[in-house]
Amino acid sequence: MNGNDRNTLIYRFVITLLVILAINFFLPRMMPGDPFSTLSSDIEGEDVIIMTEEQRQYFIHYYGMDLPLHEQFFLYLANMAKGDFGQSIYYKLPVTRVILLHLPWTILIVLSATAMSTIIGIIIGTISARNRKKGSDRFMMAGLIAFAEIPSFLLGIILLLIFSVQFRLFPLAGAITPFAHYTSLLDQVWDIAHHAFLPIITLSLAQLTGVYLLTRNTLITVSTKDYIRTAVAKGIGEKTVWTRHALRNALLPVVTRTGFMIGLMMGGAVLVETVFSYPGIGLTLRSAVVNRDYALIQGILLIVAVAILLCNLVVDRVYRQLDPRVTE
Amino acid sequence: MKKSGICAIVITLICLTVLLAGCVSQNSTPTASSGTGSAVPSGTGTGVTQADIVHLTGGDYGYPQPFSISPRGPGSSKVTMIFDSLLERDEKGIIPWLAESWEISADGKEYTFHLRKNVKWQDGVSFTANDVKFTTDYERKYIPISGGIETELIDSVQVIDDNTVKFILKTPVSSFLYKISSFKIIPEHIYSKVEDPVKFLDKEAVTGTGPYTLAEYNKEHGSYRYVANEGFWGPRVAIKTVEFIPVSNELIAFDQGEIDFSSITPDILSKYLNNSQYRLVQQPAFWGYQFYFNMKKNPELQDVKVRQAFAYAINRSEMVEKIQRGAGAPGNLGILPNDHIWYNADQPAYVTDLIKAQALLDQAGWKDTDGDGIRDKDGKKLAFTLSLASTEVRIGELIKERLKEAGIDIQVKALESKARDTNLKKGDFELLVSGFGGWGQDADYLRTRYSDDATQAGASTVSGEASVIGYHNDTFNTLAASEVQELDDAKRKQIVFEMQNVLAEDIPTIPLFYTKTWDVWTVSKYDGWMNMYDHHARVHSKLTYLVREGIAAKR
Repeated sequence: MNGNDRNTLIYRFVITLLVILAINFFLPRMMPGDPFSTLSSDIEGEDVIIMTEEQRQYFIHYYGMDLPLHEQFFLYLANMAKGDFGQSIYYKLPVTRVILLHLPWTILIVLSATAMSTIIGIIIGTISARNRKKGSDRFMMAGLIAFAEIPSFLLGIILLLIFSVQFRLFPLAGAITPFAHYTSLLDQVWDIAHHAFLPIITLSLAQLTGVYLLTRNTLITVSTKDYIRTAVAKGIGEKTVWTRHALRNALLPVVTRTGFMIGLMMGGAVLVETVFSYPGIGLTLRSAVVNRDYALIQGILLIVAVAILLCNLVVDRVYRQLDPRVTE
Repeated sequence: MKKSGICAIVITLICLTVLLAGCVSQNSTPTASSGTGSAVPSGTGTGVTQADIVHLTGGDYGYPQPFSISPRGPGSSKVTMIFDSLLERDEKGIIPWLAESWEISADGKEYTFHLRKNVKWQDGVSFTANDVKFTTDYERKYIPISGGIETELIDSVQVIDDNTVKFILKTPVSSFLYKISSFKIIPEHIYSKVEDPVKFLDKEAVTGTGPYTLAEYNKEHGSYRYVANEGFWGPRVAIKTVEFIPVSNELIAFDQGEIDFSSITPDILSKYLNNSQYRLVQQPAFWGYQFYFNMKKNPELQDVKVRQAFAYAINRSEMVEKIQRGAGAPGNLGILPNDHIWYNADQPAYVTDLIKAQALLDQAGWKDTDGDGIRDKDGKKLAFTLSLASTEVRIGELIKERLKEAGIDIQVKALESKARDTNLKKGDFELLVSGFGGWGQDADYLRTRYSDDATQAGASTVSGEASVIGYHNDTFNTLAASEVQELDDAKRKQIVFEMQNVLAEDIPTIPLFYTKTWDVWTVSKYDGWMNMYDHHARVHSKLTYLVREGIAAKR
């Protein structure tokens, strides 16, 4: 990478970041309403404090929302430069703290689910491709496609009903046992894993079919290529042909997909977190939007955007490892 | 990361926002419909009246002090468990609490409270009249989210001695004692040092005089543990430890015994009926849906006959049957629900009557001249847009159907809840539905909502709270002006009765129906749940957690 390229890259990155920051700032504020003018409950029977005009003005001033919008924007940029994400209106905490409290839980389930669905998807995709048009292939294909059509929140509810309600194998809600005080690290890890299991499974199942189909189809396409025929003709054994030659080439689109999937899963995580009442960032973003908590919406969307940027970078790198043709 | 990368991110962000905005209003709406039987409580006799531990539905509602609690959900009640007011509320009315007795001056402007002696803050410091004065003055500067009082009504607070405090009001306010009953006193020795109470999240921020101390709070997981305050001055605590824990689904958690109290939908009532393990009781009708007319934007709605026609045509009982499956009460045109202590039973009832609705519209000059089923007058059709939240579409559909029969054309416009609220506040709607609680509160809310007399004494009209756009009634304004100054409860009640009649005659808004949700609890865990006379939720009242003895004795 020469200096010129590097400059272009940095330039691009800065532009991207500015665009993201601007969208993050203006998009939430374009939604109707503000954090203090609620008049109705969202849920039947719910209590909502309807603020007096005095209260409302007081809080609008307290959070600096009485300044002209462009001043607020520049203040926001200046604060961002100092690493200050602002104060969450709903949670009464610095945005960074709210994010640090909740993001790790989402990362835990999203990364585990991505790893799980990718690995299992590749394995069964390969099995399916090798047994193409045989019974097991058809069975898996039909089963998984049918499965993919179940929305993840419904799948979550079904799993919850079966494993938590019927068999009582897993807890109903949350990420840890309430008020738990652990005696050992092992205890803690077990408790967290126990609570995260169903959310991870739900997210993985929702993604599994995509990986499976992609692996299977690219493998089938690849297996008709000349170089595979050559490899087979060399007599290096079927196993080596499939792993060293076919699978390695077929993995390219799968890796790209996995990278994008992490971003997409943040969306899916909202629903799964809702079903399992899991304290992740998706649920937090949802409540931030409901309550028009501008600073928090900005903070979370920025983190999501940066996460997607990073994923793209990582995908780029892995892609190079897998495909020697892509070089600097 | 080329242009497409930026594009992808931008699109993802927009999608996320849109998706979330969409999610926001998708609360679970029960679908199946089945007729429900009569209100028969299950289990008989009394169950456990003193418990070691009880589990309730949790979720994070902020740190339980008046400045940092969340404005939404059951947050205020979590403040109530720690902080006391001068007065408290039981199932019948206002009772003495930190104040043992009080006197009101003849002009209604001076309230002298005699405070209980030997009351200590949870850190051992004595509670005195100075704390009361301090709280009022402090909250002039820093407005709390919950547990405050409209300080603009108060001229000054005087400390007579350690146990006597006098509030001097600018003008008489008849509901002042009611306001005092939710005004939480905070400790001077702690808060006087605090410059920004919103960010005051230390352990000592939750030092009150109340029955519970906050033993554990986890923001991340939404759990609270309250334990009995050993030094509490008042009645014994009935539940030693109250734990609020996160649940994914209240009913499942209740069924599994993870929580000991739940609200249920009518379609699963039968499961708990006639089962001695559970008690099943309906909440009072203090949460409801209101239908608004925008008389400014639509001058044709200024005609009282047209509004009365709406009241006759919209079938409020049908909504209770079809939408609430019986767990509700049709709205009263005098606004106050039947369960309100000052409900006037003798008011125009507006039993659904299509013939009457049609006759009224005929009289108002709205006739269907072109035979398209929609009435018109001077070339203008009687057609409106009805704005509501996306969860309330079924209400909109029923309104549309019934009004169509009367010859009024309705277009239902479903919005996200906040968008609907914004339109209501700005007056940017024609007709609108909104749901909210607080219908059991002091009847003074009739004045703040329906009187447009800005010069009125003690007028503290809530910010557009259901502000009725373009409504003006001189008779009502006069009544409201005397209601706010009337200190004699019997006389004030009489005025409130008249106010209800005026409203029922004039129909500034239509309360569609009030919900009467079923509560169920496990008798063997705790059986002392009660609700205050003005509020629907049993877990929100302070006395629900206390032994009913001494000043908290059942009346």
